[in-house]
Amino acid sequence: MINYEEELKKFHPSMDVNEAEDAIYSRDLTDVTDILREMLNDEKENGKSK
Amino acid sequence: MKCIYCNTQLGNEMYCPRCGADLSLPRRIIRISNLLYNKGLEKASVRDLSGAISCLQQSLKFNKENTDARNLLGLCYYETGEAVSALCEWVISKNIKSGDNLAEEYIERLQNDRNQLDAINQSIRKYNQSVEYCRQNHEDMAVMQLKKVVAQNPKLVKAQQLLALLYMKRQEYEKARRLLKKSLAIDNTNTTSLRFLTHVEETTGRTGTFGPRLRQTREDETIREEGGTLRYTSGNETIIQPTTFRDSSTIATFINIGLGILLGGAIIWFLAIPASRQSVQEKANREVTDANLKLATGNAQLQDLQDQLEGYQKTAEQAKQDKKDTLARLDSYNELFSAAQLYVRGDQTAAVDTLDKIRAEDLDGGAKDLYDSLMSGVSDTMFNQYYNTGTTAYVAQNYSTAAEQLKLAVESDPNGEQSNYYNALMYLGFAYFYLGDSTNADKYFNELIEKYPNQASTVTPYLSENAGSWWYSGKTGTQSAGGSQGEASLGNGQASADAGTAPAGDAAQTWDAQTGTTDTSQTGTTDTSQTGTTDTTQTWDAGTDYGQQPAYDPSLVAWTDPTTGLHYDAYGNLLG
Repeated sequence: MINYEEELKKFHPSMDVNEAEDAIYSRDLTDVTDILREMLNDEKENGKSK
Repeated sequence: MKCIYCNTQLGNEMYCPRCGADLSLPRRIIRISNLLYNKGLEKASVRDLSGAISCLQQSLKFNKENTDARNLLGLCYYETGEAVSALCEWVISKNIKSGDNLAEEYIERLQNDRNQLDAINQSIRKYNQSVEYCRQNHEDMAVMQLKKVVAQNPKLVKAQQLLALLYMKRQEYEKARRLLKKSLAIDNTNTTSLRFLTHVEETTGRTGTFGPRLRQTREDETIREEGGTLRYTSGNETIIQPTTFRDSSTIATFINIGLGILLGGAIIWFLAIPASRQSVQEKANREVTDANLKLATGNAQLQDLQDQLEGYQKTAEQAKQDKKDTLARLDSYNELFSAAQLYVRGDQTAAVDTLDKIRAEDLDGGAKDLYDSLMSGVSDTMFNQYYNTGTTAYVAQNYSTAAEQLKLAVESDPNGEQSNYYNALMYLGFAYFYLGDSTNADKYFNELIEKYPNQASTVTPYLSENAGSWWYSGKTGTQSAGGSQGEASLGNGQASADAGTAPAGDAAQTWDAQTGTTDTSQTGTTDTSQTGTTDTTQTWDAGTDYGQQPAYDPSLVAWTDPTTGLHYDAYGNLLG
């Protein structure tokens, strides 16, 4: 069964061309490598602090 | 690849040559990213764009510097109508790797086609506006806008899905089905499209390519199957569908082909062939017309040539005639010269004969004057010649010759100047009289009466109007019908017979031809006697007295005038 209201909520407005610049700047480009690096840095700092 | 610890550019080592860090984990992360990229590529190649987008996004989460994955992700976004998202990915990709990057080419293409970019931008704005209308329950407006969006940007899957949702809400399932089919053609594993389509098929009872048939009756819809057809209501529409449909078999195919061939043959026979026949006939008719035209032209030319030929023939004949006339004229001129010669020599008789041969109309100018001079000079000779010949013939009772010659004599003296002109006229009249030509006889008798009115009584009895009645001036006499008129003569002057019967044969005289020169100066009348047969009842009166007659030799009398009783010699000279 299709619920119109529920399905309608899933439809969001698309990005305009003018909004592209802001979208690019606000994009979070963190990937697993960045997470791994961050984890390694945190581990180093923890190790130093100890 | 760079070392995650010291950013040293690495090759295929497992340890960083600078910091000695273990690179197994980073390499593994990159391998996972590549693996996800490959999966995404596979899905994109079979148009599973939703799946490809998911894999590629995961690939980028592992390795954000995977430009290939990012570029492909941008392509997938562009293909589903998300042009701005695609542009963002390509810009990021270009910033991560500036050289040798397909993203640069994609961005350049998009920027060069401003019209398409504007159209995409407008379609996105209208789609956003439609979403807002839907949330404000302005569904009619949303439908109108979405129709424009779908027409403007057929690749925008979200717009098609939203419009399909609105159609489903209106229970316009066929329209929704068509839109969802279009969206699945772009992205064939889009879950939203699949869900909507499944719902539509469940609602309508038609099966597509997605699973078995499911039929459910709903509270607001009734599905009936009657006589091989499926009937259901969809909103305000009642839809009747055949339940089963099989394509034609091989035999039916051949039958259809045969029917098609027959139909084509019939069309050719009834349409094409008559047209071709007609064109052939028209061509033949044109050729016949041309041939007739040529024939008519040829006939006209032939007629012209014939007319020309006739003209030339006439010209030739005219030339011949002219030549003949010229020769005749030449002869006339020659005769004229001959006549002149004879006249100069004094041979007037020969000159007259020669002049007689000349045609006066052939002469002109000086020749005509010469001819007239000669004619006037020999006119007397001519008159006497004709007169003597005529009277001689008259005496011999050769009245036709006499008429001919006396006529020439009369014509040679048109003014009547000759002394014997009267006699010539009279004898001419009597010649015609005896020939029975009353017309000419009356003509010359009337001419004589006109010119010599005193002598009218001489010929008046012989006019045709007085035919059959004889009387003589100065004498009375009757003649019975049995009498011969041929040689009756009048007694003139001193009549030798008294009143009473004239004895037959009294003082009969015989003709005595006399030769010698004619004396045209003689005048007077002679008493004539009568010869021939006459009736006894004839009485005589004294004839007109023409004067005392001089003495003459009876032997010279060649002829006696039957009317006047005068005597003439052989040359027509009056005797006595």
